[in-house]
Amino acid sequence: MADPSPQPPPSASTQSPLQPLQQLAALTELETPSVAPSVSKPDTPGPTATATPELISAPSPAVSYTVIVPRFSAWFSWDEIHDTERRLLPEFFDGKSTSRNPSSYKYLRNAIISKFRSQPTSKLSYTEARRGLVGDVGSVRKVFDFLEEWGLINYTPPKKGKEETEARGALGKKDDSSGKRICTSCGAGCSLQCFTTAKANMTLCAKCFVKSNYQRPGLSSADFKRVDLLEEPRPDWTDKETLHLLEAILHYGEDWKKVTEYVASRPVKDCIARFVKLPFGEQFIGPKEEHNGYTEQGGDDTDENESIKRRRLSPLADASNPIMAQVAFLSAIVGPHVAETAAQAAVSALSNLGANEATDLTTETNEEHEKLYSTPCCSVDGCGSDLSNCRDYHRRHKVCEAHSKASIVLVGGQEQRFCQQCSRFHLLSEFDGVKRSCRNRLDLLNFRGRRPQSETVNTSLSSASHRDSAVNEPVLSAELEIEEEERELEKSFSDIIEFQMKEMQEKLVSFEEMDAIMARERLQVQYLRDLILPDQLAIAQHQHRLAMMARENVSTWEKLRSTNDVIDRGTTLLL
Amino acid sequence: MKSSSLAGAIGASSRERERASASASASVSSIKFRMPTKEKEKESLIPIHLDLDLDAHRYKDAFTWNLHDPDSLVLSFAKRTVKDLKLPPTFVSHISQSIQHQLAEFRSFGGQDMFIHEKIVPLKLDLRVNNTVVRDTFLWDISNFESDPEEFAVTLCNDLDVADPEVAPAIAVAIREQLYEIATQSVSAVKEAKLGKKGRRGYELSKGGNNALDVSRYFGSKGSGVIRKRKDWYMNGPTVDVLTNEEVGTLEELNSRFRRKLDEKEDSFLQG
Repeated sequence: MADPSPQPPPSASTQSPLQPLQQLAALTELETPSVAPSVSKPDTPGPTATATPELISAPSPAVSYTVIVPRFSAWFSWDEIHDTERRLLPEFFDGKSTSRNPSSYKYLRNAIISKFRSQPTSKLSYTEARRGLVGDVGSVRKVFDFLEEWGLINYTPPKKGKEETEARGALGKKDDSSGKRICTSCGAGCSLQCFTTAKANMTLCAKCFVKSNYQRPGLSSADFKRVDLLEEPRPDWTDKETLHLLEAILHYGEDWKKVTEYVASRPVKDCIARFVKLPFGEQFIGPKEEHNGYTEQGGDDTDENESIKRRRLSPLADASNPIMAQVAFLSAIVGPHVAETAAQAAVSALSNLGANEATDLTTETNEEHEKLYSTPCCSVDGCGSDLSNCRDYHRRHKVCEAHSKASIVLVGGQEQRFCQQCSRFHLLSEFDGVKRSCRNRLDLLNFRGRRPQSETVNTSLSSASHRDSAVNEPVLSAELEIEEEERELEKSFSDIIEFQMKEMQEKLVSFEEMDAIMARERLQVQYLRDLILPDQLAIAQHQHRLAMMARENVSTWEKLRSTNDVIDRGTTLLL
Repeated sequence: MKSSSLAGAIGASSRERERASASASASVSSIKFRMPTKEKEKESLIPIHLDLDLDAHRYKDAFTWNLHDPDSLVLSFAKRTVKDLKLPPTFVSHISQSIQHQLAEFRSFGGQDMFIHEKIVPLKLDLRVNNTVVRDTFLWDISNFESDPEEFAVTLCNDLDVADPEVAPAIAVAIREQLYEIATQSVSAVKEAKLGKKGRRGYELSKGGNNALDVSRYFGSKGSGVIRKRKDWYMNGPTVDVLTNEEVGTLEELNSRFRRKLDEKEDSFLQG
């Protein structure tokens, strides 16, 4: 057991918690370690985050191992209980509980730590720790968690000499040297974007942020700010590099990893992008579809055009009107000429619509539709009653039911009456008595037949009217009424036909029923006949027999008679 | 080793004599149910015993649980254990259920009365932890609410130079289990007394009372009443044996065979 150091050699395997107490209490050897990134934990009371972790060496006879404790736990000592412990595990120290008291805490703590240090390379699990400890599992758990968090157990120090660090527990590191950012939790370099929080001075890469690997209980996702790191500006490809690239592609074909290795200076995406951008690149191998993240396709000219177009479109596309945005989008896609012609056609159609209003029925129905669906209200002065509940007729002519039948109403300041034939208001002088139709119309009806269409058209055209729509109105309404009558006629025709059909059908049905009955009866009759048949046969037989018998009787009788005759003759002869 | 057994007897018998002389009828203190150890009422440490056998994995464990701990600890404890021991995840629910069941059982006794008068109870230890077998019988004073099984266990192990650290907690849990048993029995005894109206005689004649009475018989008469009879010495001292692995193997086999036979008998009994 050669041991150079003056300290007493402790046994590598600690049996009871009391032993290491005596031995390690004597050792607190501080060594200045090599350069390593800083270590910090914000809520440490005393030591601030400056240089380096501490090393406490505990040479043992067989194997010398060093136990490394992070700087923020430098307050730890075997004999004493530090303020930190008192603060963070108050239940052991407030005297409220008899099982949890300072001595039991110390026992547990020292036991756990010495158990860990007996095998510093392997991680001490909670279950293993509690096995050899006397006490309730809750207390053991608390002490264990505390020690693990503070790196007094299960703590492996960072490897020295590397940029990236292996973080365990609550360690966070940030490398400020180059512009490169390193994630504090996983140690990977953050290239695209990273999330920083000022609260804990941490930087997380996108993966860790998504995984919510915050390393600190108090943080939430809201604390993190996103920092987009620009891609490093790539210097232009030199000819040499391009040559290398082409050679590599010739050699390896589509294996981009090997190509990248060959070219040596560029990441994979760069190689691919450059290759695709080469003017004659398509000659060798077709344009690759694997590379994503690059919207540029083909040559640079089209790129430019597209980008310019996009720029030009942007004012339209930004319009708050979504329809306009869509139109802009569609026109961009379709091309300028097509868009132009389409627009022109649309405009002309719209204008034609306006021009064809008077003669075109379809447009008229549109108008009627408009009339129907615009908020209708009665046109009588002072009556603005809503006509939504009235019939179409009332709605169309903008008069409520009451006023259509009223004898006098005020429209536009003049006394008028609604004429049911013309479907409009006339001055009161146009009406005779209390008639509901104006004089003109009645005359036409009575003397010139029922459908005075053209006359009404003429009269309406010749009579003075205020607006075009008022002139056209009776024409339109007449035509509408014609339509309606036609429809009614058709309807009545169809009704009649329907009824006749029904009649025929019912007759058919009744005949069928009769047929069925007849068939049934026939069957019955046949059945009866069948029944009777044997009887008939029997009777016939009987008769036949009787006849036979009668003949027999007759023959015997004849025989008898003949014999009688013979006897008689005989006797007479004798006599 | 012998001294401890003798010493135990000494303390117990002197106290017993005192009390016996002081009052003919034992002073009965009716208190709320609790573990007769030194913790305060809310945070009794109760023994938890787990023995689960699923999917060809066997998990056997016994530990102390602080009743004061929040119930969330049950689940996290179960998860941690399953993770550490690499058991299949179905164990988590079984373990937590079992623990909660035992906790609830303990809590169900809470608030009921138990009569604890001076009872000196013999506790037995007969356990095997890894390679160490510990057998012991000693007397324990139930009415001593300052008693601490943990301390006893630690002292025992230290005195006997028990190498395996896992023995001490097993001893502590075993002691606690027996104390728990006795406490529950005293509660039921109270119920019986109330129902049967046996009067004071009823519970005095119960197990503990027998022991207390027997103590005087334990020790020799003729004045040297503090020393056990010689023939009882071997029984009452702790014995610690360290077995080799083979012996452990044979022991396990015997145990399992025995258990199987018991199960068979049980089944046949139930069927028949």
